[in-house]
Amino acid sequence: MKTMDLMEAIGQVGDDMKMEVVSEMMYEINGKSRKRGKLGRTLLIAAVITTLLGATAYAIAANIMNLRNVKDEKISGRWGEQFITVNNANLELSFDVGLDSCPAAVFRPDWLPAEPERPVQFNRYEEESGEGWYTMYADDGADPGGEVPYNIQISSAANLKGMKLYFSGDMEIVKQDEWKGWQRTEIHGDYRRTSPEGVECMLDRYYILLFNEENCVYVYLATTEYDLETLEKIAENLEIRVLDCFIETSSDKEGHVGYIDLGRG
Amino acid sequence: MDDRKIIELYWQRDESAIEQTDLKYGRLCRGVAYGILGSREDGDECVNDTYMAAWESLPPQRPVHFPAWLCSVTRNFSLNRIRASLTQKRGGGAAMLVYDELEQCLISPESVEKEYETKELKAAVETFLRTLPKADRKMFMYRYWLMMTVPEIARRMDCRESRVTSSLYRSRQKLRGFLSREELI
Repeated sequence: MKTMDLMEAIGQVGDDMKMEVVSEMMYEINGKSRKRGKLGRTLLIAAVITTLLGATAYAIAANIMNLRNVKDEKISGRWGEQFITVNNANLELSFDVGLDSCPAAVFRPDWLPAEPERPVQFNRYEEESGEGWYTMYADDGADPGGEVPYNIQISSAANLKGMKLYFSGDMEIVKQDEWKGWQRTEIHGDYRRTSPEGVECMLDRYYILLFNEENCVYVYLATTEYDLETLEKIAENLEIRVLDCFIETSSDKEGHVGYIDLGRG
Repeated sequence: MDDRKIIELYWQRDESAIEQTDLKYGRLCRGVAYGILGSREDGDECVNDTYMAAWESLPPQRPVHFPAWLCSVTRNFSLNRIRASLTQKRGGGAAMLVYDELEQCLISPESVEKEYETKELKAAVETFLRTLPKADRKMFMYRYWLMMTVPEIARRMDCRESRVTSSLYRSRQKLRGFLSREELI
């Protein structure tokens, strides 16, 4: 075998592996114009909320994001048309919503560790917000069933009132604090994965939950590929925009359950 | 413009396909070519060759990952240009250093005693790369697929150059062991 043959063989490997580096290069080529100063971005998130409070009078009702340890509890509830048992539930997420209606919100990520290899992007309020904003922005990763680089979602707790969402497996709340007008919770969990070579290993998954009490806006960030510091950086560089359209708070989801783990939906 | 739309332009034999390709991926392809060849003039020619190849190949091809396909084509044209100089161990760009490093993976780089199948080698290299942790695999691809310099890789990966150098060294040693076990070297 000649060295040149090896160089050519490297050039023929799967596109998914090539895209791991190409996507980073493209992000750098395209992403420079999107960079802002950190202070500007900090003010941007705070300013959005301040403007809303100034423009519209809201009753500051009891809007609360709840996290409860339910390990060893038997959990069951409605899931669509079915009644299911939630297996291995560890943390329960739910919302108390005191407002009759809450504004919709969208976001765009001003910093990401890399361009998505398998993008999943969605905006349920595109008509109201225009292009370039999202209610979901995720990279499902090059390898289906493999690591998930990031998953970012925003929703109104008005859509989730009465519902209980569960993290399963071994979970740990790493940090809970107030951060620039948001309640921030950082969570770490383990999960098992079997590699294509059949090797089972334990991997880390990280979540950051942000909740803004005044508007009942809830932001979810998750990763199984990067570390918590990277996820924090994504969160700190989100541009969040509250829209001038409102979602009626309903109790339709009362008694409904769901999984909030990555890949579980 | 979305990649699918650009590819559709090729299929429709719309010459704006090349303009759109250059707009979206010109910098990427030129970066790959310059890095390998060390010459802007040669690099620009390779990028032009890439666009011609795209025009001639699409259709019938429809690359799923268009930027990766473009980078591969650019790389191939660039390697073709330096093939003669590599044989004589002359030439510019990072390719010379990369060639020397990859020689370490082979027991006898110029030997033709062992027969091999190109397909087997490609499959072996692909399998090997999938066993590497993602960070090490990215460094390997930056270095040996795109022929990026160690300082540039360290900048992109936000780590020290020593980390890159040691990762590449370990990966080459592992590749050598892997190819040996597969009886390809």
